[in-house]
Amino acid sequence: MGKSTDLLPGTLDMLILRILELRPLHGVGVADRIEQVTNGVFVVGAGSLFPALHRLAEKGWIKGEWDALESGRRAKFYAITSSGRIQLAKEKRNWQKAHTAVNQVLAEEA
Amino acid sequence: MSWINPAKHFLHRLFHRQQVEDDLDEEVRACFDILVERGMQHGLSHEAALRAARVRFEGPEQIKEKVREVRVGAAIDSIVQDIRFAARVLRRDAGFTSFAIITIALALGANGAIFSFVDGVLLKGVDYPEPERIVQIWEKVPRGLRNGIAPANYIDWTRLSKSFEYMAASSGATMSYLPAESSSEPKAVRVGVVSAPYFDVFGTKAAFGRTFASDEDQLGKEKVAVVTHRTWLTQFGGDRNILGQKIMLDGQPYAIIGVLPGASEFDRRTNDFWIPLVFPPNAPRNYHSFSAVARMKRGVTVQQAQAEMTSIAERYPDVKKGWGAIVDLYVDRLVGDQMRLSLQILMWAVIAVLLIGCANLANLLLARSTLRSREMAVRLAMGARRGRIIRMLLTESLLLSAAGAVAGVVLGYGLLGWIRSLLPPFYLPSSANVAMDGRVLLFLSAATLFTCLAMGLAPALQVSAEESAESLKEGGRANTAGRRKMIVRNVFVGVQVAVAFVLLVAGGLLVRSFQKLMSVDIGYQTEGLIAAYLPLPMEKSPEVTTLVPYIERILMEVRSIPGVREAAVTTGLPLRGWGDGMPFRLGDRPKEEVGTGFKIISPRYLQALGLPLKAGRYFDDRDTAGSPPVVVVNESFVRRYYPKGDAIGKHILVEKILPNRRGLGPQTAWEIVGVVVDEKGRGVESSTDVGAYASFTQNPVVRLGIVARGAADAGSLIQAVARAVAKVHKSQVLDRPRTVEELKTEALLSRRLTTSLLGGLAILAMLLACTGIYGVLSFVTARRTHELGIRAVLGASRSVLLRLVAGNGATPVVLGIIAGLLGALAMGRFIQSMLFVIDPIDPLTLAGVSLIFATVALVACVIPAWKASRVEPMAALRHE
Repeated sequence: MGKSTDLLPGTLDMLILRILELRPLHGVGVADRIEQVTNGVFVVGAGSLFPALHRLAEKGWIKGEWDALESGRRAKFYAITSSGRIQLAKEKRNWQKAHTAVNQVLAEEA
Repeated sequence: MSWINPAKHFLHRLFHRQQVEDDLDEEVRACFDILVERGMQHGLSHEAALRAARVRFEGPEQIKEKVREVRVGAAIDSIVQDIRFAARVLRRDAGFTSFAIITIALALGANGAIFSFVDGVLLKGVDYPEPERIVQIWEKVPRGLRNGIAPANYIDWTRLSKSFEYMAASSGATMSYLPAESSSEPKAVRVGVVSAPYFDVFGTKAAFGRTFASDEDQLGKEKVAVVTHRTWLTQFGGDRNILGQKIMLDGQPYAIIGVLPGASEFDRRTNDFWIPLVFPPNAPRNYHSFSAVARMKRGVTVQQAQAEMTSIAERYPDVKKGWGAIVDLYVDRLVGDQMRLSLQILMWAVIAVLLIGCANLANLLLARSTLRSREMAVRLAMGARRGRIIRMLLTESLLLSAAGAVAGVVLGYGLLGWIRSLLPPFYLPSSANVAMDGRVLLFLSAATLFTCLAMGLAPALQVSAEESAESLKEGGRANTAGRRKMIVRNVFVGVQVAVAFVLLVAGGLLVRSFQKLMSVDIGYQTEGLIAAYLPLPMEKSPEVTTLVPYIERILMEVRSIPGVREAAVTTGLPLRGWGDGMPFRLGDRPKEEVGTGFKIISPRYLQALGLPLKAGRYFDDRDTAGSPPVVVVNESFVRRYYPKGDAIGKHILVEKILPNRRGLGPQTAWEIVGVVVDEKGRGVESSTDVGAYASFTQNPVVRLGIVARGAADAGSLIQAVARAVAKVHKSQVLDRPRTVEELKTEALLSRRLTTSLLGGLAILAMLLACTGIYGVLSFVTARRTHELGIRAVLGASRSVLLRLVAGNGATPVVLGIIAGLLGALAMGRFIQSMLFVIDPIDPLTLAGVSLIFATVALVACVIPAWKASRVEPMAALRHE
């Protein structure tokens, strides 16, 4: 496991939405996926993850449903909603814009 | 709509709190379990997996708390939660809570009630626009001070002065009043007789209708009347159609033109009606019976107005040699010097009580903060952030002060109502307007709230991270910080005791003064003696030929009441002044003008009062209208002007007073035929009371009062006298009838009020201080239960324990009393002029107060000590 980095502010919401776009996951699953897809660059602690999930649910972008795991244990699975998809598209665009702009600045410096 | 979803969630949580919380708990726990299971699948033991999960996962409670914080309405939610929690904490600590609430309630409610009393009775707020422009103008007596104004001078002033926007003369009269179409009994009413611009001076507009037009103080236009709001409500039932109604005042018809605004100072003055003042064409320059008020032009100062008035007054060197004018700010004249001092003392007392209350509260909270430092440490260790703890304590303090404030306001209103219901109706001056003062309550609430917050937050601010570990280890028991706090607490107790002691001494001195005053010999017996004003039908234009027989018939009717021994008329009621103050000359020193009280009485007045004769004779049948004029003087008069005591047979030169009492007649030589003891005409407190009596037979005048002495009880005597005078003339009434005993009470009214209010404050202060002593000591003792248990086990007897604890509490009390004694000595000079024949350093008072205080404080010390000494050793050791 490489050294973990702090998330850029505001990116956690986007990451969660992106991950849940593929399939519903419970809390630990979301944390695992973030670590996995970023190759361990980002590690999200439960103390940030759960508040973020609840914040998104409150805004209606994701929805939590209780379901059974393979082991038979019950867990709360979060799934993206239609308004969540719209939000994700919006955030993607913003990110691209910001990303391009920042890269341009960096390129000029080089 | 971006707010619909959050709102839905918020409402859901509001109504399904438990379900939402369970859901969150299960979610967090499920995730934790998943982590543990995963660890075990990787071959870890259950313990190892658990530990790994805990490292990865933060504490479940912290996570839940963080989730709660991001929720919509989290702030409201946690406030509700905080309040619930605070209420629970306060309920659990019932002893502390009730002490704190009682303290706040006393400092706030009782203090507020007493202050409102001071404010209502003594302060009489002035609510006129720009009161700094309103002045009262007087004539100045040669080598003397303020005096009434002669009409001719006033007329000159209005003509010549340039400093004033409006000037108005005024006088008062008692008149008989009848509604126009009615055959009912006439009533005595007080009527203000004023120049037309009078209300403009005060900037007062009629609530409806109008006040006087500028020409309505001219002859022929003056039959109009303005009604006070109070009279409008009581006499006219608040009828809006009152305008234009005719009323009869002293048999003359007046049309009502306006009603004054309610809740104004006019409602608190004695006058019921106001009518225009018309000066006769040949207004006198030598009889000073009017007052004058004026509104200065903008930008004119009192000094400028004073300079101008002086220069005007100096224009009459021949008639008015040495006379001048004095301009006073009206507001200043409302509150006399004596009154101002009383007010200052009472204000300081209120502040002192507040101080004691706050110190008390601070002490309680400080004591508690020591107890709670451990709790705070635990909370910090469990992951509570400092901000959250501060918020919790803040909520507790706010809740406590809110409860105290509510209790205080209830107590205050209750107390105010109770005091008011306790007072006899004539007890308060008619100008009093006693109501709870909202601003004061607000101020007191703010002060107690501030104390609560400042002291309530102490535990949160004290507990720093390092200390918290320390507190945990030590179990929060005595350490150096604790010792420092103990000293602070003792200082608080000492200061409370000292301040309360000074207050108690001040109260004690006033009470002793008052006792002395009550037992002052006013020169005659008051039992069975009544007095009343007697507004005559011929008041306006009296003729001697009708006036004298009229008064004779009145006196005859009154004397014929069974049980009445004496009756007389007088220009000055007992204890109500001399009627007139007259400049005069001694027969053997005719160049020098001096002054004396000058009362015109029907011959038997002196016997009616029972003033003992010291030399010469009373008036008798020899003194007729045609016989040589004679006067009886009093002992003060003799002491001042005939120090050798050879007054009898001497002559004094005094101008006769015209029958209408609006001017002076020819200078007359009066022979002194008798000397009587002083009747304290200038009030009970006056030590000298120079006065002379002339006979009504020789100088008949109007504006009289009547006195009667009977054997029956005074109440029924008043009614009998009222019936008797009405037999003479159907509109003849008695105005403000009183027993002389009541007059005496009224004369001592403001002093009695000051005394009882300060006494009340002093007792309040003592109670608070003792609550403080008790509270602190019982807290300290409670903390020492363990130690005391050990001592008991080791063989300390109960009396040893008692002495140990009580001695601990007594030290700051004794130091406080010593400081208080010093303070009382320093205060002596400040309070001296308030005292009546009592030295401000009165050993009896000081000793008495010390004794009372020491006793009460001792009780406050001994109760907790006694409780502690009864401690069961084993129980004490198990304590914790």
